[in-house]
Amino acid sequence: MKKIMFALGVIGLSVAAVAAVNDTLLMFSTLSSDPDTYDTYMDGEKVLDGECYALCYVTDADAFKIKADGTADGGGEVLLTAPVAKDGHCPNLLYVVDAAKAETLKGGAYAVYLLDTRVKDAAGNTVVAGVENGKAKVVNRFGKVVEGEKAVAEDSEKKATDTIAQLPAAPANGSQVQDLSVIDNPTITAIKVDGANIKLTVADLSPAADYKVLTGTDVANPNLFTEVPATIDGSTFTVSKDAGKFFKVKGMRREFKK
Amino acid sequence: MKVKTLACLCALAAIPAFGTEAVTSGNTFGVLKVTCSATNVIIATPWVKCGDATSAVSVTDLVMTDNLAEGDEIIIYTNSAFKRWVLNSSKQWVGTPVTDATGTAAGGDPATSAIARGLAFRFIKSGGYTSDSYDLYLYGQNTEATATSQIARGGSAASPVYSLVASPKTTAANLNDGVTFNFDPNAADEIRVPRDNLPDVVYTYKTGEGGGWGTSVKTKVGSVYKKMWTVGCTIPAGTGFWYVSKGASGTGTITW
Repeated sequence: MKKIMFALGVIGLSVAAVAAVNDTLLMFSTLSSDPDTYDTYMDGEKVLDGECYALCYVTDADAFKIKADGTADGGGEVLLTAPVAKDGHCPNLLYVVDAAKAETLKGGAYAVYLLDTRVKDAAGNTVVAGVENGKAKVVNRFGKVVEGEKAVAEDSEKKATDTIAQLPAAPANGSQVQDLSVIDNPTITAIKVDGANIKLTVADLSPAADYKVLTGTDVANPNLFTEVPATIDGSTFTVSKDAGKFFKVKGMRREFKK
Repeated sequence: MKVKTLACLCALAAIPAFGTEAVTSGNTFGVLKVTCSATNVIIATPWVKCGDATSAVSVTDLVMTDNLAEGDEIIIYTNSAFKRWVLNSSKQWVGTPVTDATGTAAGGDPATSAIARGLAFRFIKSGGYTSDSYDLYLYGQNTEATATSQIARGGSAASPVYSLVASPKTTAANLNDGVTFNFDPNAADEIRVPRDNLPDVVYTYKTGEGGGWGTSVKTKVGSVYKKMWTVGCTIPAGTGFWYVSKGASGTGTITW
């Protein structure tokens, strides 16, 4: 069982049941804080909207290849092919690997690959080939997404064949796959009284959780703390100055349908 | 493994909802409102440094400035030196040397503003207190650690020794219950809480059954007034007092 959704963007995409607590929740993207950067194909062209990113589980990075039909050819497996490229990037995606499947994934690591699936349509325009039955229809090349780096073109050494796709399309600012299965305790790092409001700065937040501010008058009885209306903007939580005496931040793991 | 893609899933919306797995911040922050009714008040340090429970908070980070006026002052006394900060028009605390009667700068480096729990500082209202009370907001990170206040002991009735002390508790502190003195107060020792245009509230210590810290008040008995001593000494949260030692020697400790 698995599920993918756009993280933080509210747009969700899912199948069947609710993700269990012991499922593995992964997040990845190639978003960049620099608006002038974008992922590229090997020829330097900006990736087309709708291009595919593949979430893979790789047990042998040297042997791992994605074939032209979108499947893996040893060294691991393709878990997800998502035609989600937008404005040259893979948006934030959450993906749930259910516990039973995760148990079968041993000795490797999750990795994200950018696929080059460009084809010519009937009119001679360059378009992405799209997906069919969960696999890319055509894969010309693929490139591993590496955090903070451009993928390196090493296809000449890979001896690409007509059945083995080549490296790479080049993500501009790739990210590693982030495992969100464990939600850390949030940490309040600063407090500031600003006019009628109290602004809490909170670290160790997870996109897989929803947060709220709790307040109470007896710090020795945190169970008596109650939720107080809060405005949350990134890591800044704002509540009324008169909301209470003591403040804590509580995170609740989201339930993701899969 | 069957792979679901966005293309075939886009019609199904995930519904984020609260689950059963919860995490809570390990640290707690607090805001303590202290209502003041005097020009010169003794204020407590209930919190520690934000994000660092083992370090003292800076007094200039402790007091909210939005509701204060230019010219309001903070004075702390540490390491045998006074340090002063004055609020400027931009609501920033500016280190300003304390000056003596001749205008000569004295006191310590105001750049160092850390103040530990158990210590007190003085807040001086610019222009003086009138009739309306005003609020100070103290904010920082909470800690459950015990705190102590050091009491300089010595002096005499004619020449007492003063220690500025405040409870770090966020609730009113009963000095006769739950607060530990590691010394027996001298019978002449006093706890004094200053007031504007009124005599200080003075607490004295009596030993024995029914003893403790208490106050003497004039009570009319028949046609005459008698001074009656009543046990009881509660210090409001966020405030402090002068401990006036009139005997003994050394350093005493109050554990809150």
